[in-house]
Amino acid sequence: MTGIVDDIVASNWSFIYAAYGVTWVVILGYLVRLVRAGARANADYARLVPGAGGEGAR
Amino acid sequence: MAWRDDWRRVRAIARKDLTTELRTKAGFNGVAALGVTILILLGLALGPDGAALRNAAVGAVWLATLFAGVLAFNRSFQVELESGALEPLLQYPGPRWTIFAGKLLGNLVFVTAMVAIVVAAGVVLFGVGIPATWPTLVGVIALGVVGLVVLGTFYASMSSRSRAREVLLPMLLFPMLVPVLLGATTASKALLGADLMHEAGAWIRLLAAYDLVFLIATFVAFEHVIES
Amino acid sequence: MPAPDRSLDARPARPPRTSPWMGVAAILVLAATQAYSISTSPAEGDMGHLQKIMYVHVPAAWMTFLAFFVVLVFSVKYLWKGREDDDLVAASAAEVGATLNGLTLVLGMIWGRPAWGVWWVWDARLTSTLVLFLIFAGYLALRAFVDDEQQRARWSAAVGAIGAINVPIVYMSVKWWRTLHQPPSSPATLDPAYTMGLRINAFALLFVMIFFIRKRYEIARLERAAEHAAEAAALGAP
Repeated sequence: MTGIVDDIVASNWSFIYAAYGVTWVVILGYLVRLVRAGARANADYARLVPGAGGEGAR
Repeated sequence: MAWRDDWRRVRAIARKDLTTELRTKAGFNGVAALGVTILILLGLALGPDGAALRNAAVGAVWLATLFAGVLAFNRSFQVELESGALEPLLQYPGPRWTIFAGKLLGNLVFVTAMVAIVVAAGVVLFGVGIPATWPTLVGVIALGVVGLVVLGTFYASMSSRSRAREVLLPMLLFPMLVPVLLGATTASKALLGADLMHEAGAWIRLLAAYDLVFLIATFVAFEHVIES
Repeated sequence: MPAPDRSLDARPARPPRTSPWMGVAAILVLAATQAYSISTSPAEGDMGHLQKIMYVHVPAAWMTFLAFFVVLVFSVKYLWKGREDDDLVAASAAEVGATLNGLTLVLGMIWGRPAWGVWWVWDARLTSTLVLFLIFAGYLALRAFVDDEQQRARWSAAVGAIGAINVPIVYMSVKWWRTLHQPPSSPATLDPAYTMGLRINAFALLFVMIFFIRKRYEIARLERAAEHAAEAAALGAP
């Protein structure tokens, strides 16, 4: 077990995990932000533009 | 001659701003006092070792100039906004760039006077020996001040009319001034030393090019910014 | 100076919409290229497996610069033509670009700590990327602090264009500032074994970035359309 830990530290795997982890947190985080902003904009649009209401909710 | 009329407009605006300033002097005294105060605080934070202070002198003077100068720019447009004078100013016949040029000229005089005080205070407080190449050093300071004033005046024309203008102007201005800060401090340091590597010349050219590029760019962009 | 046409009419009733499947595809492709390059790339001589960070760091840096270039192009286009859409594209690219810029900086630090022993060095590329981030931040702050739509569009276009002009000057000045005092950190010369992985990852991230910018733009359009509809309703209906 200690051997694996040493290996991880020696080969800097923890930094590699951190790098890819941060990347995916940022990408998925931005995606969530977009989805939420999109839902809000759709709801507003559907509320304010009567004819297009059905299309907004998907 | 059209250009002569434009030049008269420029001068009229600059003179108006400077006259207003001279009558009260409140703005200038405050800004200059702040510049010197920043220098004193930096001296206290970095001192009391004499050699360390001399090394830090150039950086301290330029930082004090930037932080105090940023207050001057918003003020120059705020004066117009508070009295509702910007709209009538825009109504006057003649090209819009003359308004920018006039404000620029007024701010240039204002900041130059402030920098003279800050530099003098820096020389005294930080124990800087004046080198034989001092005319070049003055030229470096002048180029740095032009860069600061051109972008400061341009960004203040927007930030002074926005919410949170005190925060917005430094946020916009300081990242843009990185080349000015690097060029002015490195060239000044080189000139205060012996400039053995002859690096001052390259930095002076960079500062001159920077000033020219942004002078043109801001004059072009100002027409779009001021439109109401 | 030509007078730009800033009339508010002549826009489609409902903005177009990119399929969300494009986003799913982009993200799956990115995951696939990462998995491929991580599993196939050999350990590098000096850095060992640390080199694998390059596959996310370098594409993020490239896309940051590309996004800022998009901001420049659409800012200038807005100042020239005065079309509201161009302003919204520039704003979307700036937001996505700032996000990728922040990611680039953090990844650089994560790489720098084991490779150089420090989180940060005042190297030309690092410092100019940081200054770029600050310029982006100023641009987005301006957008947040100005309420009038047209004023915001004109001002941010001017700030975007002028900020972009500054980027090469900043890079050059920081480079001189560094090289005149101490040697620059040697850029890792790239072994051919890694170029393929780098390229496909860059394309995958480009795909993701395009989706993000398009989606952000469409949302901005939708918001704007809703606002205009609300205004029209308030003016039209007695």
